[in-house]
Amino acid sequence: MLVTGIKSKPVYAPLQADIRGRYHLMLGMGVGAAPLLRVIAEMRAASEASLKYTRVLYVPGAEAEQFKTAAVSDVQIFAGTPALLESFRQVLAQSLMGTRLYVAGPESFIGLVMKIALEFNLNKDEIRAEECGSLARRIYCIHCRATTEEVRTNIVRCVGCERWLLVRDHYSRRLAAYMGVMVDAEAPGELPLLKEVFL
Amino acid sequence: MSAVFKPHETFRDDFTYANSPQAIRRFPLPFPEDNYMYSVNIEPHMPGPAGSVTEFAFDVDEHYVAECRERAIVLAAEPLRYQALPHMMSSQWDCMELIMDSLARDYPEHFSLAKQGNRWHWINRPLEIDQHFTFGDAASLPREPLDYITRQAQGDFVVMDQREGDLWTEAGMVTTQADWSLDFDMGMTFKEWHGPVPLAHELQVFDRALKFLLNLRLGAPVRRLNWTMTINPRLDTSPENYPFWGPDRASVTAQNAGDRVHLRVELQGLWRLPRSNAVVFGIRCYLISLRELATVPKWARRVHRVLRHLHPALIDYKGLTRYREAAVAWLAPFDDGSPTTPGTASE
Repeated sequence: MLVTGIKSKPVYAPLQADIRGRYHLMLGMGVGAAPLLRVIAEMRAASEASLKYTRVLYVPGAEAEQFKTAAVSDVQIFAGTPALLESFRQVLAQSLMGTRLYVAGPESFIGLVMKIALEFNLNKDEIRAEECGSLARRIYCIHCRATTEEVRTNIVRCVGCERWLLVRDHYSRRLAAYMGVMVDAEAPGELPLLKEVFL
Repeated sequence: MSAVFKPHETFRDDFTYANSPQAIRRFPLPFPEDNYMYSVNIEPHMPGPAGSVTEFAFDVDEHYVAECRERAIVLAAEPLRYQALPHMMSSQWDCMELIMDSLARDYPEHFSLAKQGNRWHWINRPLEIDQHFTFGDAASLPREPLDYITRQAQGDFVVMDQREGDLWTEAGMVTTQADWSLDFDMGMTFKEWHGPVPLAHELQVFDRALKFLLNLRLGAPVRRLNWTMTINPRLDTSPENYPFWGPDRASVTAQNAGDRVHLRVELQGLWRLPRSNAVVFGIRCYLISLRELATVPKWARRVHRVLRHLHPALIDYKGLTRYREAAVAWLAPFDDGSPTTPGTASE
């Protein structure tokens, strides 16, 4: 069991609106739109006014249009994750007590958002996240410290040192990455069959 | 009785590290029985018999000077093997005080510590260090306090902050580890940190250990033994440097196993710290070759049997897969099948 047995990986639960929050900051990527739109609908039902204090930062998929019709006060669409994260950082620097953070998207996207939230010392009860979409991993090379993005295979060539790395089931929230360890150190050139496992 | 230091032995390249007959007799064998499985084998860190590795809080043995030099070599190449998050400064001072107080009390011929209020004077004779400083003033020391003192100590140290009902790995000096990375694990909770260990989570080992450690009391330290095996007497078996030591594992044969294969035992000590309420986790590594081990007939039989019947998940996790059979074959002639007496005493 490659994925479920990982003790160091956070477990995320389905998103739910928390209308006790005064401000609602939603971060989404791709298919993460669906859970966020579901939360927006819950908020509209419970307290329409709270939508005035809701802000969405989103990297599309095809669903970007739906946010524009959701009557949320502020929707920003980004071309890619790095730009969204940079904006998130600026928003957090100015954010007020009572802000609730909702994150939805692939595991690696949530990990990157959590890494920044950790740097700003957000409490666990201020953050909610729902995992959906690709299981591709960010891999931190333990030998050269480079991070290889979007890894879908059991082994991967490091973008930094070009060693073949085995993708281990050990996750660091601080680095938002899984550990990669040289796979053929004990027997140079002896590589396991390349398999797509994180889809 | 104090050991005679062997300042020139090495833990890399030509590997001149070896144990004297006295060091072999006091080796902390981690196997009280002929088979092995995880347990929460924690006991009070009370002074053990004179001359044993648990006689004092921190054992200083014949490898002290050489191990401190080895640590300096690692840190010169990889400064991140020492790390501390900013909020850990109070626990750094706590930890430094614990180590200095203990060494000066237990080995007065080697170390002395004089305190006049916050003005302290530390002398480390084996390493020829003479340092005046102000306790609590980081600018009065050449390095951060934890960095400073653990460069003068054997074994790795991890300092865990206690909050939210958990222990957080947030400072440490880790240069003699068995394949885990401080750099990767910094900031983790207790169970995240131990995530890769197989079987033990399911046995509730970490639930119980965490509960126990959250209630660890000042002045009542505890200890346990852990073990793995290492090819050559190499202290730095970090994942960072696995490309360099991994190939050693493929070099073992039934002929050379006696000299190449080493039992690696960790004497793990845990202390509550007084001001910060943090917990310091000391991981002291002892290495012994199978040939040295086999000079004690009972130990040769015991280790032969433990290795022969080890759980497959542990063989894999401890990285023994490639050479376990060679080690068992090398030890086999020492095992005539006669019973071993319970416990770890040499006979």
